[in-house]
Parts: sequence; C-alpha cells; structure tokens
Amino acid sequence: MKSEQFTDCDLHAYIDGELAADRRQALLEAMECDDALASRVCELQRTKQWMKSAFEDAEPPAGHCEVSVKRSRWMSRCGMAASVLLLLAAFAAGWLARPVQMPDLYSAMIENIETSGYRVVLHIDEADPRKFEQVLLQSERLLGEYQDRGIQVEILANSSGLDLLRADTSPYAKRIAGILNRYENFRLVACNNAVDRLRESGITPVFFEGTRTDESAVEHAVRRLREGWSYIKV
Amino acid sequence: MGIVSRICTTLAVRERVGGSRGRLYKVALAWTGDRMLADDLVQEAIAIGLNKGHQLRDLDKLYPWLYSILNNCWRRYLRSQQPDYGCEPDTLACETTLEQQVERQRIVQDVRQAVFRLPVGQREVISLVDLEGFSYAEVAEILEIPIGTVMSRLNRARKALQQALRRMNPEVEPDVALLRRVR
Repeated sequence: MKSEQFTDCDLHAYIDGELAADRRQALLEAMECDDALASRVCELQRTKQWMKSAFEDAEPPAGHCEVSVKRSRWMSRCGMAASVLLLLAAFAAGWLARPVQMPDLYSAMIENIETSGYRVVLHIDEADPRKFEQVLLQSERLLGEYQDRGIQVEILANSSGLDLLRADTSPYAKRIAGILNRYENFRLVACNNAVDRLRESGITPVFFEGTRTDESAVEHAVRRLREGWSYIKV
Repeated sequence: MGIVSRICTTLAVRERVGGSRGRLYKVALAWTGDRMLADDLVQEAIAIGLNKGHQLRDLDKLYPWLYSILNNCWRRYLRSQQPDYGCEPDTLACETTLEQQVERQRIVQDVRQAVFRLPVGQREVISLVDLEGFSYAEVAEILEIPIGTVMSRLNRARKALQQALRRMNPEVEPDVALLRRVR
C-alpha cells in the first residue's frame, strides 16, 4: 500500500488511537516498507510526546490562594475562587443539594423542623418572582403556625436573587416590610460579595432595617448548618 | 433519588471535583499561557462544578463535563479582554536561564512557548487530545464544535508545533529508537 493513501488526518488518528482497526493494520503494514511514511508518523508521535512532557510537571502555583493582582481583577468579579474551600465544606454538609421543587417547599420546610430547633434558612440565588412569591408565602405560613415554638426563618440571597431583598428594587418591598413588622424572628441576609459587586458597578443597594450584609452566602449557609439549622435551596 | 444513593453520588462528585485542580491546571495552562490565570480559571470551574454537581448524572462523564465548564470560564475571560488580546508567553521564557538548564527543561520551555503561540482554538484542541487523552468526539462535545473542526485544528496545531520546534531545535533529527517503538 502506498503512503499517499494515508492522509495527515489518518496519521493523527493513528497516534491518537482513533483510526479504525482495518486502516490501522493497513498503515502498520505500509510503514514496514515505507520509511518516509514511518518517519511522518514518528514525527507526529514525537510532537505528541513533547506536548505531554511539556505539561506533565505543571502544578498550580503554591500560595495562590493569597490575594494576587490578577485574582483581585478577574476573580473578585466572579466571586468564586475564595469560596472553593467553603464550598467543599458546604458540599459535605449537603447545602448544595438539588433545589427544592416549589410544590414541595412547605413540606421541605417542616421536614426537619423539630431537629433543627425550629430554625430554617431559605436560600435564593435568582430573581425568579414565582419562586420568591412562594418563599414569602410559605415563610409567613411557617412563622404563623410555629410562632409559639419560637420559629426562626431567614431568607438568604445572593447573585440576582439579591434584587428581591432590596428595599429599592424588590417588587415585594411592601410585603417584606409587613412580614418584618409582624414577626421579629424573620430575618434577611444579603451576600456581601453580591453587595460588593453592586457597589463596584456604582449601585448603592438599599436594604430593610436589620438585613445582615457581613458574610458571603456560602459562609452564612455553612455557619447555619453547623449551628444545626435546616437549610433549603429554592 | 434515594437519600443513600444521593449521598453516595454527592460524596463521589465532591471528592473527584475537589481533587481535580492539578489535572485541570495542565490544560488550563496550555490554553492561557499564564500560571495565575490558569489557576483562577480552574478554581472557578471547580466552584461551578461543585455548585452544579447535582446536574451530573453519569460520573463517567465527570471530566468532559468539568472541561466544558472550564471552557466556558475561559471563553468568558476572553470576551472580557480587549479584542486584540493575545496571551503573553509564560514567564518561563528567559534566554539567560535557558542556557543554564538541562536539555529536557529547555525543550519543555520551547514546546510551551510554541503552544502559547498557537491560535486559541488549536491550543484548546491539542491540549485536550494530548494532555487529557480525550477522544475526538469528546473534544467536539466539550468545545461545542464539529468533529471535523477538531481534526483540522489538531492537524494545523501539530504542524505548527513541528515547524516551531524545528526552528528552535534545528539539530534535532527524528529519533530512530522512537521510530522502532512507533512501528
């Protein structure tokens, strides 16, 4: 078989283990009597080996968890890197579980109500009015039904979910204010990373009195889980 | 999903995603040519991977899935840069230290430099194929491009690398021992 019968793509496919068995056999036989073809394959193989060896020892920079100029420029916007370890801890605690479906929200809220000491934190990270409507509705219901047990309910918001907690932007501002007035154990928590990002973009968000803004959403959720609260992602 | 199986899947995903930093970093470095940026992207991808872990139904697809996330982070970063953005070669490239280093390290640096000078699309394909050993079909899925594009980019990337390496190492001839192994 002549080497011209093998295209460059065939040779790449061969060294990458992607060539069909019959073509592979034909190529191997052709290489036996065609040094030019064997040399082409050899050089491709060598390029692949070089590529592998050039990066096999690459390790993430040590101490990169500390603040660097690049990180503060790029990652502060994403607000992710610093949370990796906390996310790991959070994952262990189960807070990143599948979001609760809306029809099941109330049953999820009361599922572990006794073992959590009647303390529930509801986490919302998107500006979905349908979800938020349910969050407010079921929170009010819970606060009313378990008032004599000292029920505590927190709404934790980050990302675009934050808009729903802002007194200046939330379409539910009046309703939130009403619940806050009626129940002293109803609290709002705004992720400080999300707040910082808003401020960086020139927006000064207005929150209801008593809204906590001193922790990131992850930090707050992990702390509450450690304290035994029931955590629900909506 | 039952509680027990959910916990098992959660633990497995957590362990593997959390432990994938070193693995993703190699490809991220090949893509970005910048150690700090590579690590930033990897950490961001891991954070997203942990956050969306429940979306992964098949643990065997973990790495293609994680690389899709990494690719999205990398695309977002490229979009946030100036249109004429081009990665600076890694700081490893330094004439004076090159001379003091052993041959293998010199080749490593040459190869990295050559990789960083490839167009972004070619860099992405060659690193996923050569460093991760993904099949062409998997690479097509991760990068959301046709498989034909994967093959043509790979072809062009390897040709460019060969030319660059020949320019940098004109004395290097095909290795006879390797030729035997290839056969």
